[in-house]
Amino acid sequence: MSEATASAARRSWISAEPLAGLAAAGQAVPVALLASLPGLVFVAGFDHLAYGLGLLAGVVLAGLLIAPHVARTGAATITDALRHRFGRATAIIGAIVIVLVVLPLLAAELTFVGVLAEAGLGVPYLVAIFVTLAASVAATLWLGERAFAWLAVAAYGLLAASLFFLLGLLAFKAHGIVLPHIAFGQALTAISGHEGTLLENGLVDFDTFTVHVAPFLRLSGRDFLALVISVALGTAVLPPLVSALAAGRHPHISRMTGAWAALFVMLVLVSVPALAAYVKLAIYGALAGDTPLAALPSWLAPPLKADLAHVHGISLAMLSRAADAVGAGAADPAAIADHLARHALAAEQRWLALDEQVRAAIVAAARTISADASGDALWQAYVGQVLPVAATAAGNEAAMLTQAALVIEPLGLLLALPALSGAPGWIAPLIVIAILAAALVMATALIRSLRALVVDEPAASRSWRAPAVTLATAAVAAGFATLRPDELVTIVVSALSLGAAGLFPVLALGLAWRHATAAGAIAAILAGGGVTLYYDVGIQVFPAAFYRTWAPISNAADFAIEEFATLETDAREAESEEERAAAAAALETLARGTATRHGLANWFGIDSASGAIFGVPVGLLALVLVSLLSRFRPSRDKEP
Amino acid sequence: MIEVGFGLLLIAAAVAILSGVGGLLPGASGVDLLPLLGYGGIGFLLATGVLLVAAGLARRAIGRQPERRHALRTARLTTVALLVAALLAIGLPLAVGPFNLVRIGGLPFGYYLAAQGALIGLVVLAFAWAARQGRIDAEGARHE
Repeated sequence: MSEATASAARRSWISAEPLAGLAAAGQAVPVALLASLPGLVFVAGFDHLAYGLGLLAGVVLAGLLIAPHVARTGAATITDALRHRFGRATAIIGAIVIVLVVLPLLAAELTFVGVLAEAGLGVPYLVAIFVTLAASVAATLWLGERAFAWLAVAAYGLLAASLFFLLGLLAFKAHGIVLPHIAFGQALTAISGHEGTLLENGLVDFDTFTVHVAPFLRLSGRDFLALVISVALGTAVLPPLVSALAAGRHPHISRMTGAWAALFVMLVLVSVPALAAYVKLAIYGALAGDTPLAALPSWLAPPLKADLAHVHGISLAMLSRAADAVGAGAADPAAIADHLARHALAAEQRWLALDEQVRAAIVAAARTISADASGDALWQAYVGQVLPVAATAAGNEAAMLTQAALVIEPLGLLLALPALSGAPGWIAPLIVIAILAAALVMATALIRSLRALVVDEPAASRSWRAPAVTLATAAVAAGFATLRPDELVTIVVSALSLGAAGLFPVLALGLAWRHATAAGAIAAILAGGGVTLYYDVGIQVFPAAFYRTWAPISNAADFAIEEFATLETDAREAESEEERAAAAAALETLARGTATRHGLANWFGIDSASGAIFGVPVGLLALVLVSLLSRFRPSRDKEP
Repeated sequence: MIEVGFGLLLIAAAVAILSGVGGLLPGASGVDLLPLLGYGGIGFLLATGVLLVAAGLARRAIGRQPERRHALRTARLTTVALLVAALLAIGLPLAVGPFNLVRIGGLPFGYYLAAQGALIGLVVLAFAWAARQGRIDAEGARHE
């Protein structure tokens, strides 16, 4: 233990276990996912608690299982540990998996920053992305380990403080001074009262409505299991988290640091269900209290402006862009659709799904406001001219705000939080800045973990390779982010899933088991990562072909299978090329599934993002079998 | 070896209930236990049985190979900790139904467990795991 005492003597404040744990917590959870959690739990109640359970279990496994193994090899990063234990080839293949995991995470983080900065601070999307990127690259190249750790501590502290502040305000509004983590039971009771009212009055859409505390309405038990496993094992091998816990530490210190990191992540995660409960209480209170659309609550304005919420399919952003289009001379629906598609494809699809008279009402309203486009005039036109027509078209005769009419996306809920909690107006930008700071730290941690792939020694960071790789990878991620992908949560979970399948077997078992060989490690990474990548890409890109190959183990219902067969016949017997293309496209959509309907292409009904549930067992099996088979050959990689 | 015996008994019982002969076992009251336990309950029985057998075998192996004492104790601790983590993060939420029958302050207990209880449990597990592994390492260093 002399090594430990020697390092203890050299320890400064930041390497004391609790503080180092706090710094690791700041690099543990992709903020794009963390900030979506209240919105996710708001939408699906119990089922989306899976994310929080997975994240915390992942931090525990990273600290107690993976990081000590990495630290024991004397390495600071995952690839270093693979190189020390299994040699160069394994390290290179591991590095490829790390790139495939970190790039989408970084792109999601940058997109999140862009969306939040645009909606919350009024900074243009691309400007926000490139400022963040420049700051992250600068912090990667010029900030030392210790300074970056302090930055992570500060950012995580700010994030937690703003979350606690909002939670405290919301709880105070509902029932005075209480400890919200315990008192939110009362909020849940009140919510179930409101849910009862909504159900009795027939104000719900069963495609999107979920009884908050009831389990397994949105996800089946099997989906829940797959999601927890994918998120947990993916977080356990998240490169920046493992490096933060393992770097230069004795295994015992890295375990204690991991436990402290888990404690700090837990403090934030236990606040999420309470926050979701109070938000739901406020929003369902408005829904059950017969709020007319004419008196639309003002807390809906921020998400409506950002196109992250819509009422009867229409957001303020859509109206404002339609006004731009009309001002530019476009008047027919197709031209406006083109204009909307320039900002977001989802907005165009919602526009095309609207009724003829609703679109006419939007165009008419757009004409009245295109002259003076102040925010107030826009709001008046939206509430006064557009929503009544939309409500009538949707059969909402009383023109009330209903659960069926109102859709809030997870990030939209985040934007509505400050106003919902009754915080003064100047608080909202501060909270946005705190969340952006946490996202910036996470983005920097991801870029640093990419740079670490080419830097063996601190001295080598002087060479041209590290800055070149840093810049190149950052540019690729920024390229993805400029496409403004939706579904940030799916991107994050898919990336974690791939990381889990590729790296978890070799890090959890390979580093610990003395009979593991380099051949076994390579087989584990390729087989595990390959299966998960095939599952995700296969379903997203070739859904119909995927379903045809794996029809016997798909959980598709009989009517869906019949629909698929009918469409296949249509595609085969189509007379014109256009008909054939339309039928083929419908076939792909049916097989892939949509937000409200499961696709046919799956194994046992598991979501395409949660493929780690197949990849991890395959990887473990490959590691054991190939290691045992290759053991009897003399190999220079085989070291105890 | 007593753990191995108990473990095998539990596994046999789980298999018997699953195959529908639970009522035919000597001493059983002729009641089919499957609806009562559910697949979650049988999974729990099986897991406990496997755990007991593994613990017994590990103890035996440690007795026979004192030079691998540290590695085997570490492996045993890791297995137990992983099972507890899986139980907290997956088992508890999947078996939420019966817990929800209990309400504390209006809050269904199962929901509370998944929202906070399991998370607090995971952190306790992390500290306990770190402390226990620290003790195993310290003892290993003393023996060397």
